[in-house]
Amino acid sequence: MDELLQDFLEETNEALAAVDVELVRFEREPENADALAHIFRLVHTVKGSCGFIGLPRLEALAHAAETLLDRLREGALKPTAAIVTETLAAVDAIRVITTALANDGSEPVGDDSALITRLEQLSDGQEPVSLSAPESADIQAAPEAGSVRVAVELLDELMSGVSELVLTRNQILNERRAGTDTLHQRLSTQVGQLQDAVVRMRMQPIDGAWRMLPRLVRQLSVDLEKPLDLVMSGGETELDRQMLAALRDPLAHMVRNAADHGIESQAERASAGKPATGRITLAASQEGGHIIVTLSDDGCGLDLQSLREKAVATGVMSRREARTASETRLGQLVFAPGLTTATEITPVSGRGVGMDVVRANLESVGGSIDISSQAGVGTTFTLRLPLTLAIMPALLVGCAGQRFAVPQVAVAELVSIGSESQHELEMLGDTLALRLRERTVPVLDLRQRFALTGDDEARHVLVMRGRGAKWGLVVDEVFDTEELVVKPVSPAVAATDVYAGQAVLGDGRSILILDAQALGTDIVEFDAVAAITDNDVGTMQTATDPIMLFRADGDPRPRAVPVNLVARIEDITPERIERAGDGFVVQLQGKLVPLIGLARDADLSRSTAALLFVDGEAAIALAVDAVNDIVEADVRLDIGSDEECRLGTAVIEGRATELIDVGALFSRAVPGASTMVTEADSQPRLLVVDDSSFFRNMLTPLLSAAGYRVTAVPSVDEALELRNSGSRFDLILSDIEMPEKTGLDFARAVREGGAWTATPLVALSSKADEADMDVGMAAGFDRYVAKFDRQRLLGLIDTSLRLREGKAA
Amino acid sequence: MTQYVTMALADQHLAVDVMAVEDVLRPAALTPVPLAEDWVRGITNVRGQVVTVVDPAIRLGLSEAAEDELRARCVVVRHDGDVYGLLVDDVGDVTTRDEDAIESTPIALGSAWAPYTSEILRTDGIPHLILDVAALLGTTEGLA
Repeated sequence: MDELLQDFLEETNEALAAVDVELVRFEREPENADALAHIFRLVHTVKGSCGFIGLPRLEALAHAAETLLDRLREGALKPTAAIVTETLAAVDAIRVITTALANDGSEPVGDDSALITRLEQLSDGQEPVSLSAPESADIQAAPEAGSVRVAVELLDELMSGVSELVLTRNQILNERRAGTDTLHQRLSTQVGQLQDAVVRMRMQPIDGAWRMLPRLVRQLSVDLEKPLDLVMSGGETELDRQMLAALRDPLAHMVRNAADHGIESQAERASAGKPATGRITLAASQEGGHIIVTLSDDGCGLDLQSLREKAVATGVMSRREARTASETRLGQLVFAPGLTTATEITPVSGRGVGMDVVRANLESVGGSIDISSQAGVGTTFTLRLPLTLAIMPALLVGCAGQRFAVPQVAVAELVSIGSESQHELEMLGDTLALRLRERTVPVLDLRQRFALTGDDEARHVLVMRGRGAKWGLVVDEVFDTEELVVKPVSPAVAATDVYAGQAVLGDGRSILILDAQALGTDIVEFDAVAAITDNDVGTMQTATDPIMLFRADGDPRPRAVPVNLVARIEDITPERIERAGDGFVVQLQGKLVPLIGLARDADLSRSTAALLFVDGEAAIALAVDAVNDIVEADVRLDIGSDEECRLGTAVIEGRATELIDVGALFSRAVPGASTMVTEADSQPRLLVVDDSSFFRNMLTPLLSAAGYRVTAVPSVDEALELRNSGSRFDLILSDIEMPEKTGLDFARAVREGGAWTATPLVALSSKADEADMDVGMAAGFDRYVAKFDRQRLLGLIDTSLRLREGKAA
Repeated sequence: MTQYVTMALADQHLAVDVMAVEDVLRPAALTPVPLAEDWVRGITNVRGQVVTVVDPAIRLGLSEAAEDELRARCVVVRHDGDVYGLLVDDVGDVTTRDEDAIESTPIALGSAWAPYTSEILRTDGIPHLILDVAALLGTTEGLA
């Protein structure tokens, strides 16, 4: 049912329930002004709402009743028995109609003209000829409400109560670390469920914040004389009502900007060969504990030249800096106070509110905003918001013996530094920097920034995201994550400008929460070291995927593998394990399966848990110490890891977690299963374009095990970005069905021009009939293969590459 | 009838309206606040509330901020929605105000305390400056 109608019915049913008492009073004491006022309010509200949502029958009836009651209130009429009777009849009729509305979603068919006529006659001071038969209307109890209205303050109170309860729970659990006590476990679970329920209670669909946007766009379309289209998706994504309120104005402002500055004039679009109608796309989705909102337009992109000039004119950059600044850095200027990309201020967006205010609003609720733009193609803003304000997942870090909390939303990655790590800090001029995947990230040493003294060794860099740039924060230790109930700091502490809040930890100590944005400002915005963007090449971004976390090798650091790849978890009893050469095998369902991950001198007298991976005929079992959890995580991992059997490190649930390369495990344990090529340079390079993270997860290890170097991206745009940034591949595999740009669009774009025109293009499709194939070939694909047909896929890649070599030779 | 908690700080006897005092405790488990003023000695958890612990004597220039040296007592007061702990050397009794025992402070009170007091409470012959907590913390806010 329409949400508006739902609201209306709830409101009306409540009013109807309350008015019953007043009706009785009104009947007994027609002079009682209080009772009259109540009834009047009811019909008045009903009438007002009806007109709004289009309920003509109800509206006509309520209008007639309102007119009569209004005359009574004014004192123009004296209440008579006839008036009382007809008023009761009118309220009953309203009840009947709303009941039917609740059941069917539409007004029931019926004729109230006789009743309305009588009400009108009474209003005019006439006695009607006939009266309504008392209780003529069917008196039904109001339908059981599926929801109740609760005062927002009460909800807030409940939320803070539960937040404190969570805290107390954490403290109790902390004191009894053992955690084996069933009572404590029950308490823990129950409090967790309660917290979840309260958080959900405060959640509202995000479309509440953008419901007014279609109208705004229509209006803008008229004002600006540009045909505009607003495409919205993910409106059902829910977030905390407080977040919703914080989002409303920034979104409207950004839509206005997109329409005004982003999308070109009709003439410009025509000469650029673009569709006449400009398109603004708004999408929301949940990724882990965050809500991602993207707002894109298909306009001209940022005017970098004008940004450069403005930056110099306002003194934000020197002329030299402006000339050499990266696009990302220039893009960030949009958020600088006083800088606007519009060459002239128009009545539409020249309202004195800049993107700096938008960013400040979002950051005040723990969110962030980034911009990316491509000349002639459009601009996209990406907003990241926490699901809820009150409880914040944070990473606890140590520096010089003191602990600090860092909001998890700000941490993109965790990197170890020091002698045993491949990462090292280096000095660039007088700035400390970290080399990360061929990029240089400026870093801030927390110890230095805070003038702390202590002998601990700096061992970790938190790679922080925000404001379009990455930067590193050097700390000594990284502890656990904890859910913090954030409390504001007093002015004496706030004066430092580096703390976003304070909290009490499970162990009872108080802790300061670092303001990541404020600390980052020190080094990112005022530093000439090029900040790297979130889109670094070589980073594979998988959306939220179920990830299994486990521990192995007695190493307390968590490891992870996509759940999709685990066939099952086996409990392996000692008698099933046999030594075989240097390793072990285990009997599973009558077959001998290599058991890996056990030390040579492993204690074979105890059972061990093992993850079973199955790949066609081959299977391997990976011994683990414990399976800890399955989480939905936003995993960003470094696929360029040099270590065998390891895809890279990702921050999952705030902890540095090693992602296991299942494909490599196979190639090592089952030599026959793959044709592992050792020389990386001789390995053909493949690009996989697929929006489904499941297939990316599946294909990447599969293809690397088959001897290819694989890069996987989730969208056509990212693939084309790789092309434009100079990446070369020997073969490209692309999905056909993808949101926004499809595989067919991709094939056309590849064949149209650029460096990839001659690269073999293989279509991956879940449905491959002849007609589809013809369309695919016409678009520029060379081959077609069904997604699940592994053997054929590998064979086809092989053939295609051979053909290509033949051509080249 | 007003009651006062008497206390001593940096050789000065002070008195604070008992209604303003939420708690008196030994300062413990302080989390330092890097980059804050030296008189902000840290934050601490008092029954689930995070309290900003300040040393008024350091704030008023009556003593130096010595590393790792806290005063013996912490008087917890609420000001403008935030909870503060005032560090003092000693906390005495709760004294009921006796009208005769209240005097105006000498106009020329040549002390750093002068802006934060206007009356003296005399008990057992000892003069206690009645401290205006709001004024004291209001100032710290302004100067922070």
